[in-house]
Amino acid sequence: MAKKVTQPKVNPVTGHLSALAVGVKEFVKPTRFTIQYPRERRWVVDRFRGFIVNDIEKCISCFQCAWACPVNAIFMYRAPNGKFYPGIRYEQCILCHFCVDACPVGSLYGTTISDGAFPNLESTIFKPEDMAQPPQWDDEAEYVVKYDFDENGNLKVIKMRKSEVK
Amino acid sequence: MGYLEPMVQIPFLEPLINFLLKVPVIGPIVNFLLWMPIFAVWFVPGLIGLFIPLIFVIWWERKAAARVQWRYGPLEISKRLGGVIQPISDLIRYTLQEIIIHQEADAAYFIHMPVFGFIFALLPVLFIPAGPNVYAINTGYNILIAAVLISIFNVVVIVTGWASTDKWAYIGTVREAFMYAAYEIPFMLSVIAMIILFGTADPFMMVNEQVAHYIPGAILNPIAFIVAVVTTAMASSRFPFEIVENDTDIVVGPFTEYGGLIFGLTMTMSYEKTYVMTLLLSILFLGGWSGPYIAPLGDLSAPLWLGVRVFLVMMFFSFLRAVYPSYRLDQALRIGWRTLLILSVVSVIWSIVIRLALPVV
Ligand code: SF4
Ligand code: SF4
Repeated sequence: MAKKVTQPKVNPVTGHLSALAVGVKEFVKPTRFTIQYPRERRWVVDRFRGFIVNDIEKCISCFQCAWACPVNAIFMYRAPNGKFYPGIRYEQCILCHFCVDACPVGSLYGTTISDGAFPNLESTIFKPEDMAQPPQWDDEAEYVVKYDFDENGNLKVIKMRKSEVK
Repeated sequence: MGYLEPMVQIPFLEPLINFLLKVPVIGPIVNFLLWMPIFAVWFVPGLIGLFIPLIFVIWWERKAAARVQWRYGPLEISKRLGGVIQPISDLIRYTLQEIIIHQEADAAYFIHMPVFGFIFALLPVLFIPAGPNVYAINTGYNILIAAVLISIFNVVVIVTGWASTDKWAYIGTVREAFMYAAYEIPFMLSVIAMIILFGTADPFMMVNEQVAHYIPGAILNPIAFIVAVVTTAMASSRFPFEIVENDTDIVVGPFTEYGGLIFGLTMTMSYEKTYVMTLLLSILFLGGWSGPYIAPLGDLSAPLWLGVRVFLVMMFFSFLRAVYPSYRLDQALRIGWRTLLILSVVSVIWSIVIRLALPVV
């Protein structure tokens, strides 16, 4: 149901003053923090859009994923059984997961894995067999860092051991 | 051989200067550089006086905005100093880059306009004194002349954008023309309000009035001060009025097609304008160069106090980048033609009332 939203009324003088006050406060004591990347990783939600896996058993070779892809990152490769299966070229893929949404049988599904290093350009081209399981990379991270805000807008940084997260 | 007089007196450098004046070839050059009008144009408030705040303020702007927005800003070059020489390295990069003139551009205008712009933006400095003994030209109408010269500059920006023959440059140019009309009238009215208030357009007498009564112009006429601050932000496209050069929607507006050293010039232009208008603001509203006399600095003592004000005001303007998003064009025009215009008319009336009520000021 549509809900009408009106612009909140702000007193221009106090509005500007409070904006400047926030700026000064952040300048004196910035809330910034750093995630020490290879040793710590950012916590991401379950629906985070990462690399994509294809369950070849389910795939009906309908080409919908290739049609849906906005950047033409999906190539269909012919398999020995005569069917075509999708392979993603990750140099082009923008991880939009439109292909996952388009798949009529749910054979494509997303993972939350988003960080990996490719040694060369060829390795960014995933063949159907590369798509069969989630990509494997060494994960040096010991901690997963999550950040949140309390009701006053203060930053809370929560550091969890990797074993504690799923 | 006589010397060019008057020379700027700097007591703590006196022995060195006296020695250099006697050296055959260097003597006349030193004399020439210290000759007051030339000193005003080259050092304070002119070119050197521009570049020191420029380098600092560009760095400060990026650094402060980064800090407020949870980033770090420039850091790689001169890491220990927090990246403070980043603008200089940018300048070197601009200098070494190729200047590309694309086919559709009107080459003559395209190349010359940024240079004219750089010069025009600094012209008002000829008429803005940095202290009682540091000025280039004194006519008795200096504030008026400087205010008028500030507005000539916009023509250059418009021609620049037109000569570029580019979609973004064209949109930026039209925006510049709109903005110009919106801020110019309130700005001029606020300057006129101060001229009426002090009963003179002579910067020296204005500062003397403020010093004599221990009241800065900003308190005598706060409305004119607010209008002048907001219009300065509009005129020099500081946030929240970064509309002409808004890089998130029209690349860099009128300067989109530029590259290399010429782009460096166009980038400096908006800072130059901030600098010149800040000088004017400091003299009109913040007591100019008033401050305790520092004996070893001699004639440079007054420019130092003016410089402190200019630094602080420029830092304030660049800090706005950290706090504000930018207005849309129509919102800015509404502010200019409605709020600011009304406020500036009120400020003129305020000045007339004060003038009538307190004839001594
Ligand atoms: S995630 Fe988006 S870009 Fe990547 S393959 Fe799927 S549809 Fe194409
Ligand atoms: S949309 Fe799904 S079923 Fe169709 S070809 Fe792509 S992966 Fe296979």
